[in-house]
Amino acid sequence: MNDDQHDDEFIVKEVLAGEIQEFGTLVSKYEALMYRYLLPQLRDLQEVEDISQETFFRAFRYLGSFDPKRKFSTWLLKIARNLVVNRYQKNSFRTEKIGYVDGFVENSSKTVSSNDPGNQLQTKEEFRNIFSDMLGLSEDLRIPLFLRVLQEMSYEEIGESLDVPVQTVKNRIFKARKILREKRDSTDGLR
Amino acid sequence: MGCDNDEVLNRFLDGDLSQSESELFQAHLKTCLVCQRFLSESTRCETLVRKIVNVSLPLGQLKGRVMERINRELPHFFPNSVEKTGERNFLQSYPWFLGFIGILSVVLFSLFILPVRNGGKQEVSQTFLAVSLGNEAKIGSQSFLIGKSIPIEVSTLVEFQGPTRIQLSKVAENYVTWDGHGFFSLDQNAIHWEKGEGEFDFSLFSPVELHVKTTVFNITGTKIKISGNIESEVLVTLIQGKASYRSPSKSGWLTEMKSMTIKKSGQVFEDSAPPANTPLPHPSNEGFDLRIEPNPGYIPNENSLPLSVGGSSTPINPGSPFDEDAVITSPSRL
Repeated sequence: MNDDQHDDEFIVKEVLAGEIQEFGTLVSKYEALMYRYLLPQLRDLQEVEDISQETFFRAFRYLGSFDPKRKFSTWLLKIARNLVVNRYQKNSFRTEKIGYVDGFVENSSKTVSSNDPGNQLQTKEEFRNIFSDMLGLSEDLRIPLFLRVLQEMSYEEIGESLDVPVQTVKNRIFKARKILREKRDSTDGLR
Repeated sequence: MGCDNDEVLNRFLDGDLSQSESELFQAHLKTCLVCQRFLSESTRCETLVRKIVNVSLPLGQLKGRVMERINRELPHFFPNSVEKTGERNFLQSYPWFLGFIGILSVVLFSLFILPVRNGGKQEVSQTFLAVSLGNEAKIGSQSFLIGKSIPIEVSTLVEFQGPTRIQLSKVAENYVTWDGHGFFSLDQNAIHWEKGEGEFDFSLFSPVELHVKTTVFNITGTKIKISGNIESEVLVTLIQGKASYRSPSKSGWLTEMKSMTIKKSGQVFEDSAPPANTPLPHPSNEGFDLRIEPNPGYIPNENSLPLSVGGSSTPINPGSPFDEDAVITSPSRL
């Protein structure tokens, strides 16, 4: 058990002992992970926020059943995953329906140091293409790639979170990057 | 592409190569334009996506929203009981086991459900363990002092599908005064009732999470003196319309019902903690959804109690309506 896991176990014990407000520490700690995990699985940002909130609410409600031998983050992601599966199994993920991409594209100017409108436009266009390609990957490739790229999780952490062997994670991320590269190459070839 | 080092390149990108592998690959990288291009392109693209997504995520707001919801919806909840989560359970992991469950279901149906169908009575029970020590009791984050009351709530999900009337009545109490305050909560509104007993018209509200709040009043003297058993029981009787229960874990098992007993009981240990190995009691059954079907010929009864809509909001949690065991813990001595 590493220090991080030990810290989580300590906070969980405090919450179970009645220090309920301490649960907020866990929410702050895993908020970003939750958003980055849910982003490639849902169609709009409001859904991401709603499922994130529901996940933490359920985690609090069922905290007594959390096994401290496991990682709290893994437990959280499994609750989130099941919420997604249970609520949206009839609505398959369609990239054309994703509502948050435009907002993200607009935000891209915040990351460009240059004030050159041409440069900003190029960044926006490039981001839209790359991000759309990433969202267009099949779910088994998309989720591990997002966790690797956005959360910078290790292969081991991704494997544990998704309940798949480490080698499978490696293969999927490798395959995802290969597909993305082929798409970029074919796009470049068309120019 | 002209280079078959894709997999190594991928691992290099993620820092997954050993030192010797990394050195070998870097030597290769100096001479391979294909790998150089892929590496710089992938790094640039992934960095760009990471930057833009991270500035776009609405981080920093979730804690306030989650804690506000916990305080609003679970003010007396103490997360110290073992309950199922949304995780995949054994049956979901091993679907072949469902076959066995199916056979068992037929047996159980014959033994238990058919008799119930005839009787039309159901019971929803919750139990809790409480310890009172000192001059303060605590349920979750909320403290209760001498002279104040301790509310003990029980809730169940009810679905009304047409003009229907039900009657609520108190059945039993022990160390508890049932003041009848409570509410039927809808998604964003709550229908409050102020009287302990009466008839309620549910023609417009569905589904509804039914909360029954009982209150312990005998907190007197220098200590919180509650001992023995606390028991609260409320009878919900269908007086117009057709109703059926459905156990959430046994879909399709609809049973006609005439009445439903909502019961909350528990044992209180006074001035001493329970033995270390005393298990927390669990609800005596999994609970049921109550579905009431339309009654085409129904005309609303003018004598039905009026209901006010508004007040606190309590979104429905259809997944686990029976998991709000109240646990009174001993406060730390000051």
